Amino acid sequence: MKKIIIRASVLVLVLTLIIGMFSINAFADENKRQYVYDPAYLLTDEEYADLNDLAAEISEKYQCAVHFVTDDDPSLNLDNIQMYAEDLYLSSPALGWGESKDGFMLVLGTAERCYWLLAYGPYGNYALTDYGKDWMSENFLSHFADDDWYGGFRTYITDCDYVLSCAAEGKPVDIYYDEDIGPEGYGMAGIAGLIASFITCTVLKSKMRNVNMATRAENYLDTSNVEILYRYDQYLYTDVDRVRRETDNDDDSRGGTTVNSRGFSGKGGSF
Amino acid sequence: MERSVTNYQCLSCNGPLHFVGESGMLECDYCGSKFSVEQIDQVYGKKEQTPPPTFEEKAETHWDLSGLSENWEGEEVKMRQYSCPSCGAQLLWEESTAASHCPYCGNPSVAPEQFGGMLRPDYVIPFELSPEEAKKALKEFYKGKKLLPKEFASGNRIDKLQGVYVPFWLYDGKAEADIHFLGTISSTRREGDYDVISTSYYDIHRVGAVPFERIPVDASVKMPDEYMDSLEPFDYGKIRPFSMSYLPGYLAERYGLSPKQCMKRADSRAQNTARDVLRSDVRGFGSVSVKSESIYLDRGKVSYALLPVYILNTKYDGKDYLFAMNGQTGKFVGDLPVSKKKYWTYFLSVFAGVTAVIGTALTVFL
Repeated sequence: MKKIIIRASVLVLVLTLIIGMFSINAFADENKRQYVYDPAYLLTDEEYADLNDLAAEISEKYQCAVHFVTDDDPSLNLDNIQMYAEDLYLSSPALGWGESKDGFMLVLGTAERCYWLLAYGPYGNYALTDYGKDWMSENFLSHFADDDWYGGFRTYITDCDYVLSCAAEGKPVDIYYDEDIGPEGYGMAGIAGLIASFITCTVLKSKMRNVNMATRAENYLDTSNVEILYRYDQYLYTDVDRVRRETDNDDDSRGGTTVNSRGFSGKGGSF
Repeated sequence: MERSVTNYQCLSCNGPLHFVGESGMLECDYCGSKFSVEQIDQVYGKKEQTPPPTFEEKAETHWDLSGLSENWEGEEVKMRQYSCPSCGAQLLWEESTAASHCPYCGNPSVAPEQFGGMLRPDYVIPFELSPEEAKKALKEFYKGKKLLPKEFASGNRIDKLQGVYVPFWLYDGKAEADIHFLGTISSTRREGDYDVISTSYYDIHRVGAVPFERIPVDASVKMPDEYMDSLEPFDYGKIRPFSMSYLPGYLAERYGLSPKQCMKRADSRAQNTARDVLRSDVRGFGSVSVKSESIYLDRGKVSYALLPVYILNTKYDGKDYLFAMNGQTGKFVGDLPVSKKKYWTYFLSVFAGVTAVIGTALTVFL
């Protein structure tokens, strides 16, 4: 933990210096901000400049910062990458947009080949849902798996553009938003309609008749003289069944964003 | 053979008397006099002991009657011949009819011999409601029936309305039940990613005595059993010892099915209810089912009673519709026709509405 904090502080210092090198007014003028950081040197200068311009354009358009950070430290792994990414995001004034620090950040640990994609801030968490993170991860991981760093980061940034454009229209990328309910959905609605109309008409039809053979004689019980003469309940045996619980991960029908107590939502793994 | 029937006549003007449920008295159609059942019983009880001579004794047989037969065997409906004491008309009543009207003079008549000896009812529940109330009840019955054809509900569709004293056997007895139930209690606890469901099984043993009083079973061949069952319950608090004075003005039938023929239905109802009573004593289990049972019926006294029922007939679309009302409590039963047009209108409306709502919900929320 201590090591991570030290590493995060060092990285903040490095980032600040890099930003200072590119622009003296980096913090004052949003137009010249740095959005992508590549201390692991995975990108060429041209690639770096291209991706930073693209990230800047999208961030400014939607007022939600789009970042990515690379790191080749061998101590960065699946167990600590989330904490590392969140600490870095909170401690660096260069990350996020505005006071609420709305933004997305992808951290890539190249030594252990792990990643963490996070969203922060009310708008950041609204725009990048759990489903959106799954969808984006699937897209960029196929590039990183082949060590296609530029392709992976470009896919990440263009996907951020799509996700933010959907959120701007009031429909963040979420479960089923990207598809019609399809024939199965219409079939389900039709079957539900048929069942509902059958039940309604059966109830209405049953009201048309009230003639039935009697099978009971409860009205003719001599209740004062009913006697229960013997009662005995004997335990026989117990059956035990184990049924796997349905977890949130099993239920892919839920939408929205799961936000932790620090205000982040995220997804990570290895590639 | 020709038999006699009795007209109950006004003690003041000799006009015909009939029993009126609302007042509980016999009333004269002509002078409006009212007489209690006890008064009329006193007068007619004596008359019935010494029946007056009938026309049969005075008639001369000059005509050749050899080709005529009194043998009704082979006929689907067996008939009996009576002579009306008011106008002398020859009346043909179905064998089971015990009270009716003379179609010529309209006088209500009772055939006392139908209730003689073993056939005499023990009890009667007098009519308390009038035919007008039966008509009103039919109108009420139409209310809220969304599938009722409009033409059926509109106007007066009653072809025939008749108050009938229907014969019932009333069975007393006791069911002694010894039942083993299988009961379960389930609990669920969580262990990691699994739900562990424990189900404990119990043998639940109950023994009980369940007495019954007067389970009614319709003893008429003509009345549909399910209609008579549906009219229950009758209020036995107002049951009276039988008197023919309650019958004038209504149809009355003698039983067509013997107590033995009806016994099975009473037995089945008693057994089912005994099982229910013991089942209701089993508490605290999640599910309970019968494992084995032995129900012994200690059959008791059977009584014979006439119970008041209004029968209403109507025709619609070439089909007969029958309704019945409990003449004591006003409970109304019957099967109404279903309008196919309305049925399919509702079906399609609900189908379209629900499909549209669910389709929209799937599109918006998923």
